[in-house]
Amino acid sequence: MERHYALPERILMNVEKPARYTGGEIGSVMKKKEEVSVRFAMCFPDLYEIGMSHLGIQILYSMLNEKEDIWCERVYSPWSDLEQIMKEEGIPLFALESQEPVKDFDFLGITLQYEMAYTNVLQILDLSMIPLHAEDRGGDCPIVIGGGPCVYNPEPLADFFDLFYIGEGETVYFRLLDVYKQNRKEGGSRADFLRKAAEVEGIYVPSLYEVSYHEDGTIQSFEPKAFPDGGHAPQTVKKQVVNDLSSAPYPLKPVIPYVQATQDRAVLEIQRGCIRGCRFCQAGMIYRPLRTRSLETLKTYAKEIIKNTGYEELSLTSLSTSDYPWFAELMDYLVNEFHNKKVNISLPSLRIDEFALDVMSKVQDVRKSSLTFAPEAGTQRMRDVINKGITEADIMNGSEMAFRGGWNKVKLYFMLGLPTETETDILGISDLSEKIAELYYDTVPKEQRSGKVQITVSTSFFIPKPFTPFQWEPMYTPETYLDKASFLNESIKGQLNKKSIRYNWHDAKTSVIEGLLARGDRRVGKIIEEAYLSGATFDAWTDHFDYEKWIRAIDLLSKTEAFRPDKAGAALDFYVYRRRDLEEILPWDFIDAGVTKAFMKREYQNAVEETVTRNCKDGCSGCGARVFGSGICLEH
Amino acid sequence: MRIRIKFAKKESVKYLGHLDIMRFFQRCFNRAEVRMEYSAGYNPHQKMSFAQPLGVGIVSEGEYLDAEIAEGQDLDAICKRLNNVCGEGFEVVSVRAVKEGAQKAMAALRFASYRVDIRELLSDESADEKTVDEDGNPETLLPFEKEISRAINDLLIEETIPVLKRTKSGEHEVDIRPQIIHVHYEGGEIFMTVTAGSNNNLKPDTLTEQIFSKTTIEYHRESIKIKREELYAEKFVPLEDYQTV
Repeated sequence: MERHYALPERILMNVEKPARYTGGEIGSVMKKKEEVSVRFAMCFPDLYEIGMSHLGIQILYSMLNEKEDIWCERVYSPWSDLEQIMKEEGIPLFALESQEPVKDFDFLGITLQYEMAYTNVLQILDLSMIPLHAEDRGGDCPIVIGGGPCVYNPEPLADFFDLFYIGEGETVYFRLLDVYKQNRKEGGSRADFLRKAAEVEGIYVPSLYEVSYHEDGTIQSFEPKAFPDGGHAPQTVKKQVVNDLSSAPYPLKPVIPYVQATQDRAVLEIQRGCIRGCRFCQAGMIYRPLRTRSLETLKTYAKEIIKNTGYEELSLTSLSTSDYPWFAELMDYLVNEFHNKKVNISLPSLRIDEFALDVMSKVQDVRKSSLTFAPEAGTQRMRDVINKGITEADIMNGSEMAFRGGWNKVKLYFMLGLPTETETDILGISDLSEKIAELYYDTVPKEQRSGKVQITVSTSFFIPKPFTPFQWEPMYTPETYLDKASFLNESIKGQLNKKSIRYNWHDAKTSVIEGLLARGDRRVGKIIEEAYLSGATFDAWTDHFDYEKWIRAIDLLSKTEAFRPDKAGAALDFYVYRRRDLEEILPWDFIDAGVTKAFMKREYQNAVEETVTRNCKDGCSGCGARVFGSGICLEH
Repeated sequence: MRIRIKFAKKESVKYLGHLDIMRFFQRCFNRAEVRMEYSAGYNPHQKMSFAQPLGVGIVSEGEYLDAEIAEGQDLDAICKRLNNVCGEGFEVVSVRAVKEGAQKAMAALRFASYRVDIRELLSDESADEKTVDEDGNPETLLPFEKEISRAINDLLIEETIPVLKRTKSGEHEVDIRPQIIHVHYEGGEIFMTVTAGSNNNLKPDTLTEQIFSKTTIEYHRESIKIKREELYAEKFVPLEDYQTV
């Protein structure tokens, strides 16, 4: 069948990688639009190569397309070259499969994977010719849904979305779409649908809630609005959780991109959630409880996916992969099954021990691969504060074994600016790096060395996230962050083995903006909109990020009544640099994520007292996720 | 054993680049469960090579790739299985065994034939005035068609046709006259056979542009549609039949 394209040849021939925009990949689903009752545009608001690497979209895409009367298509952000042409020529953003405008769809679902994609969300709406503000949308506009990890604080985007889906997509999508079909059948309006949608567990309709503020800018109340008939949307919105991962839908015939995706391989999600409880880690809290796919399921899936896709690489994905209960059995199976078929197994970072090294030596080239440790902090005291259950002995023992096994590259990940951090903690990072370097030269005799040991130290700046025990913590200014980074840099430069240690750090300004977006309230939407209108997009791309645009947008909001008309950066002071009161209403308090605020307060206290909390396997610490009645919680 | 695969790249995949197509075929072989030969080393890769990369935006009925596969596989069955997994954008036309010691397709390649659809460039000129002959029937050769035919003749009369060629090492002049084997115009399309291969390659759009430079008609690269029809070895033997069984 001849494909028809939204873009004419003269445009396709003049943009970078035109196959990003033409669809038709193996595994993509074509239907006849006359034969479906719901058209769903599923969007990852970043470049095709990034979006096509994302498992979540592939899961929902195959799940929705299973239903005969639903056609789910994909949408990604056009790169700047095409964006400019589309704006000049008034070409509306289109979905890849049908090549038809997104504005003609019933739904536009946008996954919110990282805060720095928020301006891209506005770009998607803008290019689709859908009004940016949900309140300005008429009955013929698609319903705009947000999902993904960032919806655990959806408030900065509240103005732009009709509704948010809080939690895992496999659970209530069909119910939501049934409500939509029913409402349409009854001749109900857009407003009628939104009211009914709010009754579906996990669905948050921001326009049905009212927020008022104290004089100091903090939230006074966050309440559902009363409907004329006396009812109202639910007080809290409960996150959605897949209880039995083994029977949940999984894309065994994923879309295989022609253009090389960033993650160009088959993906096997072995488990969801994490038992570790690191206090800075949002994923570790919001995906609780830990749920596993059965070993048998994974074996079948691995074989099927490789057969269906022809990929030469299979990547295991999960948080803390070493905690998968049948990890040894799974690796045995995969190595045996795929070794002769020339399929590589790629592993996320494992806890380095004898077993991990054995596995790694089977699936990787020891000379080329590197060991990865994420101690996150340089001293034991600091690691106890963040509840990172890795000791210096673990790292030293793991490194020694690895050096004996032939490895000579080590990557170390740390955070700077953690709560209670002192200079001693920062110096701990360079000390640890030096010790590892010395260990190499002590362990490996000169004649067996293949060059110098290569230690790469990377630091990111700590960003407090909602639904973590550190959600009340202040951040530092970019200047202070850079001082910390150069303090560490100087210290590393002073080490004996400085030539074996490379140090790089994240951009401090990006971190501050990410911090603002992560914990903002509804008023922050104005900043995002202003930044977008002044030209900010692709902020997650280092060479695209323009701090000045953001600062101007922040100043505009700061000068309004809500803040300090006399102080330009007042909004940053309020949202980012302020220590929040344990008792204040946080913008995301209306979400019931299972993990309770009481638990997070307890954990915050434990952090201050440098007390470690055991992991879920060793015993329940009463975080609250037990209410879901699934996964590891059932073991106690 | 070495096999030679002839395939078509159709309209719906014409925007793929060469590297995309290479990766695509690797995975097709895997999906079709063809037992491949691999290079040595820690990261073994399938042994395959293409006769000549095809530019983005160009379709083809005569693409070739050589691959090394394990002995004892039924080539017709491989052809069928590849067609089952390659989607609508590609078609595997034939799978042939290459004789022992024969040149690879890439090395054997001497000539390529193309047809270049120029109707879009011509229609702008003629949209309003359809020429008719005395009986009121459309004239077989419209004025601009005559112009194209004349331009081709003018070009072929030249002893040298110098063209500036841009390469990594800068610009230099190349005489493309000896690279033109045959060219004629018919029914909105320019048909051409030109030399091909790594040393002596003439791109169809280069020749088309030269033809238009001898006319009054404006040339835009994005308004022509190029189709590669066949790749040949010496004596104009299609690669499919060259040193194959």
